[in-house]
Amino acid sequence: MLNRREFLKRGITFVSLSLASRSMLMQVTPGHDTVFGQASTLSGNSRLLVVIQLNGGNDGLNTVIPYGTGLYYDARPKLAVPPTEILPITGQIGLHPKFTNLKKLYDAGRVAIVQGVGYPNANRSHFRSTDIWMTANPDTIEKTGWLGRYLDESIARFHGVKLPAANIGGTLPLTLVGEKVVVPSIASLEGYQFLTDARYPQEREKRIQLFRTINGQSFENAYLDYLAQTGLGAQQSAEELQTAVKKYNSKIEYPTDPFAQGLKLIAQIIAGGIGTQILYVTIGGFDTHAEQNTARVNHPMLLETVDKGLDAFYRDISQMGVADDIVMMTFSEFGRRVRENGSLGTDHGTAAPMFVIGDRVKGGLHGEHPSLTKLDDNGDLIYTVDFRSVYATILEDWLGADSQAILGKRFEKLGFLKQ
Amino acid sequence: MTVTAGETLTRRAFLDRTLLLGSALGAARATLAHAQTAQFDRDAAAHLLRRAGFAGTLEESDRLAALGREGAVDYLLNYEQIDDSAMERGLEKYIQSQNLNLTQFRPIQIWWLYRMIYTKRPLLEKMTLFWHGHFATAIKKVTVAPLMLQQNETLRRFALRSFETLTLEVAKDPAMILWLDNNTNIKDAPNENFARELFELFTLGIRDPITGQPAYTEKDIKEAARAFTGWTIRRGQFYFNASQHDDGPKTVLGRTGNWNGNDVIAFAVAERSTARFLAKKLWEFFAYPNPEPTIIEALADVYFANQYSIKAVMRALFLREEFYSERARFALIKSPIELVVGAIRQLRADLNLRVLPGPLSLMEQDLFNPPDVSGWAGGLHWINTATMLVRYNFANLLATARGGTVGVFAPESLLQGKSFPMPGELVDHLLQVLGPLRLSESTRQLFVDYLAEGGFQLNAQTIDNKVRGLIHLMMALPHYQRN
Repeated sequence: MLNRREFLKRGITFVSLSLASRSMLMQVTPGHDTVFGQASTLSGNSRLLVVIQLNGGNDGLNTVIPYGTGLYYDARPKLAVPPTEILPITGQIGLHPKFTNLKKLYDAGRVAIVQGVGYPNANRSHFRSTDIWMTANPDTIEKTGWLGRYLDESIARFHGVKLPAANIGGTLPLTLVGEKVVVPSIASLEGYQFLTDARYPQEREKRIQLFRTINGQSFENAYLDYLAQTGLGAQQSAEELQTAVKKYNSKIEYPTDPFAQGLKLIAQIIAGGIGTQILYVTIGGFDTHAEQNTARVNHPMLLETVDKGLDAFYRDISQMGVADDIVMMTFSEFGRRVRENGSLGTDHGTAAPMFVIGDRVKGGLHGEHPSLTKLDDNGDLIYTVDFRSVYATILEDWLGADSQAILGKRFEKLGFLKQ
Repeated sequence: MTVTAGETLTRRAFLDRTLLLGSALGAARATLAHAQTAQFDRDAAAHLLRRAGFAGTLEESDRLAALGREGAVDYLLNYEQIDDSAMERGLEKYIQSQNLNLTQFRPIQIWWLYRMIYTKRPLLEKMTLFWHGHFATAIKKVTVAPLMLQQNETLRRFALRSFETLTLEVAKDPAMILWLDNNTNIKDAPNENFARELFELFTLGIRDPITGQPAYTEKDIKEAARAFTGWTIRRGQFYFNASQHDDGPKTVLGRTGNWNGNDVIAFAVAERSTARFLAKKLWEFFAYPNPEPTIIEALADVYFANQYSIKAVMRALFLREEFYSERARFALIKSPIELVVGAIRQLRADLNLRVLPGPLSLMEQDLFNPPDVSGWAGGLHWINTATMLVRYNFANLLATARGGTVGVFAPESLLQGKSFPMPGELVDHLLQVLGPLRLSESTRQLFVDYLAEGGFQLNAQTIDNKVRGLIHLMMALPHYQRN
């Protein structure tokens, strides 16, 4: 009745989160808790990556602004940021005025700006280009994401770690999909647990107990056994996360928007010290086709949200003493057309800057700003840095992984991390 | 005591569901196969309804059981005789009232979920879902939601027709052409993508399931790709671009001639390997994994004896003894769609459909967006700690839906017209409604004790607290994850 081969295959490969074996559950009992013990120091080998997705196609030209060239002002008669408002980095390049906190971090050498990031034969579809960025494969449809593959490759490092990675949000990005490691999406801390009827809180413990008793049994049927063990593992690891985050007692005030609150949840998970290495959060709304500077949700406002959220997060991890262990990376599926459109907006484009932020980052401008004179046939920027070079740098120099195994081939590394 | 339906149950949802097996029933009853009635009991009917559809209420199972095995199978199969206009009208109204923008991804998912939840032709939607997984095409590359909908309508329209017709329609489907790059398949630079998947995943399979021999060669793919050159799209429709079609002779599956794409499909569907590949895949989707060779061969025979009729194959499949055997019962893992749609149908819930795509995505089944061209792997691949927690919390969401943005589940509707003097009887009834879920005596007793704790009295308070709680916990049983 049981497809034994498949069952075994799954059973063995699901090492991290699915807790196919009870012995793994036993490991994480208070007292001799190797996981929590090792990770709670959060130093030395602990190197965390926080990925920030700017969903919709961030207008790179109005983020890292080539204000020194008249071509920018020619292409954007209505949308250009006036030179007086720019936060200058060089005589040519400056940041959008809403990036005040990031500018301070930049000045402190904590922000690397990788300019002109893209890939060959840019795809201007949100879906497809997002997939390309997430899978790190512009050529074929791929089932796994680049960080999912990293987690698979590194599975031995996560022995006993129940939450090697987590997405904050309601949909798991393909970036984190692997073959072996299971990454949960945590929309809210309150929601990431075995929920019971909120109207009858007094019933909660009884119900959880009943659930645990039933799923703690062994069954004569292997499917039922597998389902019960996985289910028990799900409930238990969620509960442990709930317990772990209680260690967080920061006084830093985050803005109330979902992006900043997502970053706060990441800080809480980090404070829990349960060995989570990859964290992911998304902010949407960057598809600014119309009234980009004035719409109800507009581009400057989004940049301000990013700026304030990252500022609170950075201050938080600094006061926790873990800023040294954390690198943040932003990306978006594409930049936008150089020339503004007739609706006071910008259409889908190609290359755009990425931000890599942290104490171990070599701050400054990296890569070349794409030319505004030499555009492609669509009137879009021609990329100067392949996005997989950014990934390769992070994989090799931050996460200590073999980038070739994960990205399929070798890409030139960039120097945005301190050695 | 006896319970009457509370006012929270919306009338429409209730009627929709109870009428499911309505009008065409009389006709089917006339041809009732009396010999099989005895063994085709409520549990067997519920089994058929879970597999050939998305589960249903006890009343639906009983009505199906009364038709006998053959009558029930024919009732489900001859769905064109079932009037489903109420669902179609309801869907139209829903689109209007909800401002459902069918050019977008989430709305088209909701559009299909509405059909699956409210249809009186469950097999039609189940077959469409099977074909969506078989000819797996994803919006992440196609990017145009209306083209995904168009493909979905094609799969629905040809779901039980000849496999040759269906495959040909899919080959001409704009979403498929974009998905497998056939729009770039031209005379001077053939693109093999479609031809390869046509053989590997849609028809022949890499190896014959019985002989284990390769079913085609790399040369067959190369030659077949040439036959599909010029099959492209223009203004959102299929277009045969003769100027980009390779008119030279090609040798495909042992036959040489100036073949076009339809010839290649005709050759492929005529191969025994295709019949076996399809028979095995259908059996594994609808019955159980690793079927015996005799089953595969018998279904392949039906396929050839009926001009590749999918309907004939499905009829044979649903009538086989093995389909009702112990081995088949609960031998599958519920896909997220089966879990969500099935629970809503079993419980006659009237949920706000907008709450469904999120959990479904986290359970790893995004309609119109399968992970790749091989579709969803299914089985235990659905199960991991992340997806299980979402399953449990969906169960809680459904069990505690008391109105507002989530929608309504009215537990009274399940208890209507029945009396439950003892807590054990109520537990057994709920286990029937949700399955049947067969538990060990000790596990069953845990539920009885929970219900009886502090004295059993079936009043509104008990229903709102304990019955909803039991539904949640029963849906969180490992047993409930099986189909």
